[in-house]
Amino acid sequence: MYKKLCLTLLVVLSMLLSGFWVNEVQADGSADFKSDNPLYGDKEVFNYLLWTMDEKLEKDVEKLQEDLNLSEKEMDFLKEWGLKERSMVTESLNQLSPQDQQDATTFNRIAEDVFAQRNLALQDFFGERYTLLEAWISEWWKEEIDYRNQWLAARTDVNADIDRVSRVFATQYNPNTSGAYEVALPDKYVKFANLGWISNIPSNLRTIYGKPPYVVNVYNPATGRSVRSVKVDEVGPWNTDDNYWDAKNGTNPRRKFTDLPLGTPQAYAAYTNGHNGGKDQSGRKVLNPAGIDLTPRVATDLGLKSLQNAWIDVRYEYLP
Amino acid sequence: MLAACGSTKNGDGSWIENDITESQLSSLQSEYDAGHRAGLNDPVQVSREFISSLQGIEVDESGESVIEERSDHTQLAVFPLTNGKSIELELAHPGDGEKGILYVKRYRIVTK
Repeated sequence: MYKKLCLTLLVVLSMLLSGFWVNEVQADGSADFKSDNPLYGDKEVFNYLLWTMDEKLEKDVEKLQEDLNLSEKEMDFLKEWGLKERSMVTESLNQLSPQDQQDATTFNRIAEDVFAQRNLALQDFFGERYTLLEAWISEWWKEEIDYRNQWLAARTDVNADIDRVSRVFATQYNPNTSGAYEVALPDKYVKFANLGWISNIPSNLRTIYGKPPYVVNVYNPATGRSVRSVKVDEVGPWNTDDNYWDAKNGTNPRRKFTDLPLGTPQAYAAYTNGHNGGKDQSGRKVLNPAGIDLTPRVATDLGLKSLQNAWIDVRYEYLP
Repeated sequence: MLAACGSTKNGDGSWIENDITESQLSSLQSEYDAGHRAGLNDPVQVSREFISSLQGIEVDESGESVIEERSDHTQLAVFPLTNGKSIELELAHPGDGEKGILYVKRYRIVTK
């Protein structure tokens, strides 16, 4: 017990000395430790950490439990909040009257309230140990972003002329047709082309999007499972004009967010690095870094459980 | 879950109400708010998905569709059909609100 307390204090002390903890000095001379902590960044934190099939994140979860000496009950509490982070925003929005729904400003305000509630619930549950959790999350977040940026850069093939593969964060969605075997990518014209909605593709793009069906191959490195030739019959997540697999100067130029590297979804940049003020093209705060959406059937074939996210490899060579 | 589901039994130009429920709309709004199905606030996508659910109705891809925004926050979408007629769709936000996702409130087949 004494040994674990000493270890915990050492963790906090090392974080203070390492300088990773942002100390923004306020006008009154006090320090603000929160400005780089994702708990105060209006985003899903525990859903990302605890509900993603990823070797590094799974080890991070073990480290969290060990470093802070958390019981199984306390871990379950965090896992439960991981699910709530995903559901509470939409449930809160549904409680508004139709007249108060639902523009980006309202969405962002609701998101802010939900994550503030989360933090209050954590403070209430963990008491004095909340400070340790807060500090751990802050250190972990900085390390995770650094790791993930380098890890993704090493895996993304930046040559648009050869095979296009990148690793992206995948979430799951309910398709328009129940039971559909499809994925969603944030380029609406791929969907339009696949569904035959040619007249709604701008005339200057009809040749580019003129050879459907457009499909992707997806590989889940955590399970070794893959799915091939899955049609992109839905648009999302988050954006509708972010064909991030296309180079800005390529044959089908990236339509938006051309300041981002090839293969980097704007949602990832918004979530991790505050791109576009942390918002999508509609002005909504991006709550998770997803670059592809999977239907439950596709997710199951990749070895994912219900509602589980994952970092997966997507091959875009068959897209415009 | 279908964003809309309709029938074409009244082919005489009368408006046909879409029988989508509040619960279904809520679910769709929830999906959209979580970052999924990002086209649910796009009148073109909502219209095209609805038309796809109708039996025996096909959009004439050689024609042009028109989307008209109205002062009451609804939109009127008109698509030409392969049978020489057109389909008009009245799009609205849930609860007749001003913002949020769109859905087909009612539709009718008209002669061009």
